[in-house]
Amino acid sequence: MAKAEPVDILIVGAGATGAAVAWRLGQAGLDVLCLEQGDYMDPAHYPSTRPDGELASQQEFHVSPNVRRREADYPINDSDSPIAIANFNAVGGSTILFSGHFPRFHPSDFRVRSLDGVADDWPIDYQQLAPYFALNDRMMGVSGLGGDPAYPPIDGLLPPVPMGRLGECLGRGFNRLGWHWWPAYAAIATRPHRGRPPCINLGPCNTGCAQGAKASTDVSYWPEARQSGVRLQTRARVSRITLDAQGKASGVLYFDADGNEWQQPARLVVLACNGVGTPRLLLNSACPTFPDGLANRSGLVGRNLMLHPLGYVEGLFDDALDSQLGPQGCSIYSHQFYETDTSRGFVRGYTMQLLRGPGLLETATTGFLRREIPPGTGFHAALRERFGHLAGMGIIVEDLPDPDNRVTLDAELTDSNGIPAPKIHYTLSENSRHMLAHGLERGKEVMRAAGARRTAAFGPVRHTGWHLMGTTRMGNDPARAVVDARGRCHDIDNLYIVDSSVFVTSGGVNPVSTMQAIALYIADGIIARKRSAP
Amino acid sequence: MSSVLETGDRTLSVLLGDLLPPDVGIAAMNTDQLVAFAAQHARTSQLEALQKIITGECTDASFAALDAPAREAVLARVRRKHLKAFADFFLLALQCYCLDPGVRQAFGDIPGAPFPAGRDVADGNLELLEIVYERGPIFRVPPPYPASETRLTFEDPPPCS
Repeated sequence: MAKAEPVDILIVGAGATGAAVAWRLGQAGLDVLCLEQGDYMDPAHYPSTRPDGELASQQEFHVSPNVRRREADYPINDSDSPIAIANFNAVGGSTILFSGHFPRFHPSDFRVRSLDGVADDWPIDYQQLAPYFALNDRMMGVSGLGGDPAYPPIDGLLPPVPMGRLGECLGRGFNRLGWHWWPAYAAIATRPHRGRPPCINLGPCNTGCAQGAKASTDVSYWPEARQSGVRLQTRARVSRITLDAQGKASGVLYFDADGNEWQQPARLVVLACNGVGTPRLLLNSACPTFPDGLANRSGLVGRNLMLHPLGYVEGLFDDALDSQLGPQGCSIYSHQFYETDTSRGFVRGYTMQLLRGPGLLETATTGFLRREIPPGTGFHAALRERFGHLAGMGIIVEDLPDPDNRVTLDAELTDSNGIPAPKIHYTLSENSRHMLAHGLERGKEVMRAAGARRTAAFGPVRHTGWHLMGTTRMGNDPARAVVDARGRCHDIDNLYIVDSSVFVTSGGVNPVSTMQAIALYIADGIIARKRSAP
Repeated sequence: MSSVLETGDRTLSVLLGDLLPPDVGIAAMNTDQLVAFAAQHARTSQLEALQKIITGECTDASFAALDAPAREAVLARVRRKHLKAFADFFLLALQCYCLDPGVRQAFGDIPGAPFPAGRDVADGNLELLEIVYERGPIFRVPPPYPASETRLTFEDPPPCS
């Protein structure tokens, strides 16, 4: 096995949080290397540059690594879960395919036990993270509209993504019901921003943004991180974390693109591999000192997996809404049912996220499969009635932590380097089921209030497991948490975790804004530590 | 049975004419285009499978030689007895059809990727938000932490650009 030159700080994973931490540490002048199993993406090859882009999203850009099977992907056994895991492996990680919907957690999301008597409070809170939310917004280039009554004041936003006829139509529906709604927060530049051009409605965003307006971290954080001296090595798949004789992290072992195994020494290791990849790596790093997985004396590595069950509501309108136009996940949203009201029959709450309508191919295929668009003489009329006339809505349900929902290692399945693959064990809780049912009904109600002549709703939708949280939770008590309030493993003090594995609860919003703010906050702790004891 | 790529059998073209007939501004689906598309995506077997099933359902005459009501009856039987094969075939045909520039143009999906100029999204009326704003905040403010619990801060964070 070859041995690489030692580095001061080694980051594993170049996605949403790995990029943010790398940039922050690089700005502070620290010696940083990041290892990423994927490669740089070439935006010229994104589906949005091709007329057949819609088809590519069902093939080589599919959200599931099990379907996509790119060289950088690892398989995930999610057959024991109603929700399949979604991710992407490349420089930029899953932000390559994310929709860019970018709400923050609410202040109440960090105090769930105190407010609602369930789960646990976080050891950090919204106020502590506020400057990091703002910093991250600047780096990512977040658009939106100030004055949103669902949040404390948020400043410095780029102009909002146009809500379109679709958003206006649904906004009127929300107003008729007296419910909250607001233009979406979006990690999409609507003006030139830090060298990135603005959105031109090139495609639906979630197959990669060839324009570079969407803030996948390959175009937001990484260019500036590399300018500050951070080194990024691609096609480097980490197989395990190594320990020294004192029980501290001493580096990692990884496979390069040719399958050669390397030893990479480091003084401090940061994991940023997401809520499935991080516990997988810790479990694969079991050793005599930690026979049940590295940093796992609490037994909580891999447990408390939260996925945000997602419901889908659809409305069909007589009016042309031009719903096929615009960023797919970013128009308007509602937090009317976000905060707890126990009269609803559940605790916590959910987001209603308006989605743009499907493209021509998806409209035709789903219409056929649901027997709404018949082959033959009625085909074109039925397709015209639907294309551009459909509104979609995601119901993003807060998932409470449950130790039985977990990531383990599959006994047989491995990736192309022979590293054991993760296995997902996940069941929806009764609270989540009630919340999802409530959201689906309220979604249909607002569609009707907006004028929909037909509605449909179902959930949980299978290929929506993007939000991977809770599997190395944060807390002050080493018996009840894997990392402390600084993101440092209780069991190994030079091993940090910065991705959404550390989430104590899941909130009811897309987590990227919050996970990046937490990553920047943890990075500042690392910088302070390095300054006090270099 | 010979491949649909090689045979002069008109089953496929007549079938496509029935399933995706011409419409305003849209010609009948081009059989060669579908055959090439299926080959490109390694799904020629789905064309051949349905062709074989249809041929098997037509005992007295070829599918192409039947009149329209008779073909409709055959297709109804095929859908009932061989739903998956029919669905696989039709979904493949839809993929080829809906990505065709002429079809996209006819449905108003052009301009679109990769040349989006003119694909503009209406701003929408932001005045509709006044009533939402006027109702006031809807988020909860958590109680302060107990005095015994100190909040972690980093007093000297590095500057950032």
